[in-house]
Amino acid sequence: MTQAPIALAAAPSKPASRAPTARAWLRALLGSPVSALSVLWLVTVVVVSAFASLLAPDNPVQNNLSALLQGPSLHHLLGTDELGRDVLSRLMFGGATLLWGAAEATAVALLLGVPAGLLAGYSGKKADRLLTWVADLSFALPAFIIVVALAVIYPQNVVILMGALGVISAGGVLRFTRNLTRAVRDELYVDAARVAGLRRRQILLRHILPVIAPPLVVQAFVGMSVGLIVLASLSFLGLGTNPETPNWGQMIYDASQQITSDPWLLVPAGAALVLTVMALNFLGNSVRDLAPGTRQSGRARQPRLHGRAGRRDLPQAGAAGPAEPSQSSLLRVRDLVVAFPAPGPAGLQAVVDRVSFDVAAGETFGLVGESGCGKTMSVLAVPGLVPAPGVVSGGSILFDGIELIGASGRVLRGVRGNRIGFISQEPMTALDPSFTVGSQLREVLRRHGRISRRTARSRCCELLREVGIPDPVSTAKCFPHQVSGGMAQRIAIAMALSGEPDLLIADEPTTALDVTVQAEILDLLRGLSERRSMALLLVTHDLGVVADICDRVAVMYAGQIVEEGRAGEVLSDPKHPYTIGLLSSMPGPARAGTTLTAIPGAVPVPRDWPAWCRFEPRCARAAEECRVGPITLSGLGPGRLSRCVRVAELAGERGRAHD
Amino acid sequence: MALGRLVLAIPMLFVVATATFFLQQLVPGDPGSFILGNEASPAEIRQFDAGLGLNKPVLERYGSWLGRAIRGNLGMSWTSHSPVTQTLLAAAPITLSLTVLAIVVIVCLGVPLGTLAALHPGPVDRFFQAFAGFAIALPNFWLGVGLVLLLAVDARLFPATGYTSLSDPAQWLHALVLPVLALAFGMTMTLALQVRSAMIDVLARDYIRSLRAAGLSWRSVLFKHALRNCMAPVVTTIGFQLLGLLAGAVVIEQLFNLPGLGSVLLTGVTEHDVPLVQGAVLLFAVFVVAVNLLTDVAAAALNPRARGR
Repeated sequence: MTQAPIALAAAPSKPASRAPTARAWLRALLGSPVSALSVLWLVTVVVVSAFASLLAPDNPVQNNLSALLQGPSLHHLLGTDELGRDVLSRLMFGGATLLWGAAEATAVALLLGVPAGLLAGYSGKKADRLLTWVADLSFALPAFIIVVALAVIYPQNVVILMGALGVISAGGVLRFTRNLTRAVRDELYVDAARVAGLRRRQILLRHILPVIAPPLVVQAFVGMSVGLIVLASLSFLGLGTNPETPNWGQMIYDASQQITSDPWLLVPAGAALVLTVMALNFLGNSVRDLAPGTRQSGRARQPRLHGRAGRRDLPQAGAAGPAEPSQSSLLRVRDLVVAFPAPGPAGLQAVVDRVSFDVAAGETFGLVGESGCGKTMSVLAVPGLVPAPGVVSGGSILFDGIELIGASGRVLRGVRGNRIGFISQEPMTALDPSFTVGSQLREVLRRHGRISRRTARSRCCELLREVGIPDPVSTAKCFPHQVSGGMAQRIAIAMALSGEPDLLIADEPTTALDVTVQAEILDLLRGLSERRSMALLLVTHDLGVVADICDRVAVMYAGQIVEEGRAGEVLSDPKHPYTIGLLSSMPGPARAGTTLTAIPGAVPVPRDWPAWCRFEPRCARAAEECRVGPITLSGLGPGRLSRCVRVAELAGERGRAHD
Repeated sequence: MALGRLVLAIPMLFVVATATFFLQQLVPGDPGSFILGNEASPAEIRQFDAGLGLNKPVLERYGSWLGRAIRGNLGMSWTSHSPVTQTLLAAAPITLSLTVLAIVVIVCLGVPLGTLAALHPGPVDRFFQAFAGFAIALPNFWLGVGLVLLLAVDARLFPATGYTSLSDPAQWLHALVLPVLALAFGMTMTLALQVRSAMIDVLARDYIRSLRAAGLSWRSVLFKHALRNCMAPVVTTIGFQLLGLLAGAVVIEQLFNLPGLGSVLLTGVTEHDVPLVQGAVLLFAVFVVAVNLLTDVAAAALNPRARGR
């Protein structure tokens, strides 16, 4: 509610993504060949059913005893049945009853369920509780059984039977509508409308109904398909039939009586029913993808890569630079390319573009950059955990002499946990919610050590104590949701340490935590790395973290390393405009009286990366020479690299700025 | 949560019981003329109605009926004149055999199929989805007739109709193969679709990555951790499917001539035997309540967050 005045000032409008346009609807309905075919089939069924008396070649109830059980012929395209009636004509007449019945049940369910659901979802507690209770009640009724039982009073009365089905189904629609309304009700623009003094009816009709309409349309399609099946089943049982108006369910029953003499009769009515139900279900699904808040599972993690055709091809040549030559490096990454599928001739779009770096044993190495610059993908490639559909499409990752790119699952499993530990950004989602902390830790421990349960239990407590958990025994019995974020991160660290790794990769280990907890976790990591002489590869966007714990640092921008060097040198004497920008947007070193500068714009998505200096569009110091072509990463001294052609000019400028 | 359901279950059974009782009031005309037919004299009809206690006030009859129903006495059938409870108890094992076997088939096939599809994006998954779309749209009675044609009439592998009691397990299973297949086919694919999307969702979670990064084998991550986390939504689906199976059983029992609860219901419906219909509906309602309770208890047990409270 507090945000309402702000929203008022900026005229309340629905986010574009929430209310699909008519064109989006049409695309969903006709976009793919299958959905276009579904629409075509349904339109055909409806039209044929409506005009059956004009279109049908024959009388559907006219017996012809001289033409019994004939197969398909020119005269009877789909053959004749056991009374010599034309199957095609019966089929054409047989859809209408089913469609009317299903439409009736759906309409009743929607007309009762939607208003009640809107009321329950929008109004206060009392109405909500009562209506939800009624919905739950109807939800627990055996709908089909009740409809069958009603046939004892209303035999073959389709209108009453399907009406009853609609009434019972209304509870489900009510609950569905209520949950949708609940979700929309607290949106900013609805708050704004309320503050602006719109009446409830107006808000419901203008602001809420349009948003919840698409999922309700899905519900209508589902309702139609359920209604068709129910009525066909009733007809098959002889409860929804009328010899004067044949329907497909009844035709299937008639056919089942002739299966020994004429199995063909099963096909026409069965196919008509199956195709209609399939078309309804399919359209329901394709419209559902339009609904707001739809979770498109499996796609969520894919970076935004689609868009204009692959204007940018795979890595540009000559972009790789020399990294610090190091004999003692534990991890040696060279020209690493991580790519995701993208439209266009290349079929792949690099998000990590020829990245090279080394991490020495025992060293703490930082990889810094804004979100979306490729730092997480770079480190996920090391233990072979780039999420599908991403692929490592080039380069080399040598860990202690073992090549990890293209290594077998066996080799990778040997390295993971044992030699390389990994902790991720979100501690609360990094632990399996279904198992206790202790059970997960012990499972990992037993995997590494082949130790007894007893040893595992004591090792588990030791580890938890080592990462600073005061009461390991009771913490081990907790489920992940029962511990705090800081605790969860400590547990995740304990899990990563269980195999006593030589390298710990930490992907933004403190980003999701409170400021005070952040410092504790950093201290813990520093302490662990010193005590165990374990190398640390730390991904962060926080230069303060780098200053605090890193020995060396590489700055990444748009999939490339743009600067590298000892942490102290890079922070005090940056050699790339991007690093300078990052440093000056930190609130810490800013001096009173100076404005806090931020880098204008945002990291471009991979398909918009320029073919020349990738930072040029955002760079205050850009010149003509920056736009000539790709910039190489060049050495400025031992272990000191920069990807800027104007390094010399930078030094002077930076000096002046410090005066 | 489960307790909430139990609280809901009692009024629900009460509502169903009341509704089934007043169902009788809706029968046009009086039951006597309905059952005895046009040839019966008015005196005979009055006597028949009095025999059923129909001359007493509605509310009085409702009270005594409800009182007896709670004690398990559902009255006498109007046509066979045997106790309804006895008829229902004789039929229940057949419906239970059918639904329990079907749910076993659905779970044993649906979970692996869905997992397989989730693990093979691309052509395998697309084929799976297309096939599932077809399977779900296929009416169980059409499939049943088709199976009878192929495997009972043509191949003579299984009997087309009939039921053998569990005292001869091999024959019992043999007789139930076709009905169970017809009943389970579409729902297997419904469950498989549900497992597929739950699995895709779970496999993209951070903890799967951290467990793999900690060195656990893919098999252990998949079968222990991923599957375990898929189970909560899947159990809810299984609950819904058990309810769907009860409805499907009515059709399948008729098709395969199995004397289960569905057949009792249909006999009652076609012969206007109201006590039989009332009893069958009540028993179905009891099953529905039991299944809902079991589902809620199982879902709660699978969710550590709910368990802690």
